[in-house]
Amino acid sequence: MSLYLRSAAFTPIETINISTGGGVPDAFGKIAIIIKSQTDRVISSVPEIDATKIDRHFLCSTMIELPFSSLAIRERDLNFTKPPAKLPVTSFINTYECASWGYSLRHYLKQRPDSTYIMVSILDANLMDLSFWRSNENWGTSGFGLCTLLIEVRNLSLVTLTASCAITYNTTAEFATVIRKMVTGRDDLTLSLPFFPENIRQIFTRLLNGIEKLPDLHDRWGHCFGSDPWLNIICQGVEGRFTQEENLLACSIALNGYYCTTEVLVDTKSNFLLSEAV
Amino acid sequence: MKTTVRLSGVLERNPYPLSPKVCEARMLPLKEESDFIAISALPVNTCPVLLNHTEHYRLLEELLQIIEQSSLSIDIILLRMQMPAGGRMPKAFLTDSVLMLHDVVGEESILLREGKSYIVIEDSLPRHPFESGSNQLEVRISTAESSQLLVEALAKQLIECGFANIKMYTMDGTT
Repeated sequence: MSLYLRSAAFTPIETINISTGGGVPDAFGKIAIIIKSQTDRVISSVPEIDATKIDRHFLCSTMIELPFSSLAIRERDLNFTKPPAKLPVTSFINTYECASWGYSLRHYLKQRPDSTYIMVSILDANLMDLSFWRSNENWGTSGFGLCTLLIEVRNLSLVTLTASCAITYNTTAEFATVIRKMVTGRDDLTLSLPFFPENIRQIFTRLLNGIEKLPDLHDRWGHCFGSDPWLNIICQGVEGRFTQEENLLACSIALNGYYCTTEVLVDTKSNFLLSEAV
Repeated sequence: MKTTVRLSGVLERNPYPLSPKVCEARMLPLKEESDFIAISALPVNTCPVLLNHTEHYRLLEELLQIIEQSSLSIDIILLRMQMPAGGRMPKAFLTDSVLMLHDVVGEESILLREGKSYIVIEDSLPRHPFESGSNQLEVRISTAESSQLLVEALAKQLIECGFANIKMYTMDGTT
């Protein structure tokens, strides 16, 4: 462990899309306000941290792509400007789908080995209200929202971060096997896995049998893409699970086989914020 | 002192005209009436689509191979990549020496400010009518070393792949 989760927030986004009025730019304007608000809340939740030392804010996504690729919205629309967030988004990464957060961390830690804090947000919102994104056979029902993480890098040489891609197209089973290999002999680690319906979840149940895991929350939240492992940690934190230091392995897998994992420490000083749905 | 060299061109034909086409990209399934209405509301690109996803990745892989064969010491390569990807992208794009973003400008400005040696491949090659783009490609090389040989090799490759209007210039404006 060498990444410490200082603060984490999740806001479910259930009602903002073009079907509820306005086009994609209007809908995304509302999202930009949520990004700003959540960024400020997360930074404000740790007043002991010098905010000027948080120098990067990556925004990741899996399923917000067509509005950007078609130029219905542009990257500058991510940041609300009146007034701006305490740390506006500096980079938008959706290329690695649900594993984008891990690839962002890998890039940052390699390029800025001297940094102490990093902010990562994960946004998935069905702006166009497309039926594929509501539910499909790959992951069942979807859940949408914005997750924001403030992570402290305590010792870069000890960071355990993997950003990679499956070799086969039996991706979930391969992913589970990779995780099994990672945690063998590590009784101190608890897995925080992506949320899947029972028919897919059984791959984890069977291949990761006997390994400590946080409960699957698909029934409550649906599959929330790259946010899943972090949303699970937030839910446990809000419910008071972390009464002492706990090492977690956050894991995400993308439909095209990209995956990422990282060990992260949480303790009683970690802040967890779970907002009402908007 | 670092110099940024720009190499740009415009794709005018399919880059691999004699190769069989593998049209295997998966696109978003549209099922309900509302799906069609939502997609119809997106902006329409009138620029011709001259290559598919597989050919786009092949083109970028070939450019990355040329960069890898050069002796330049580069901290990071940025690739501009539109999504959805249509399928799994090549391994060469997933290494820790490459970062793919929808918009490279913000990340590039940070690398420039931090004095990194970097290469950006920024293209606007539409692979599907959903995608915006003007069929332009630009490579920017920012390094203290001479990049002349690399620029020449990349220009040769682009010409072979159907790019025209090739321009090379440095940040001071010399062509």
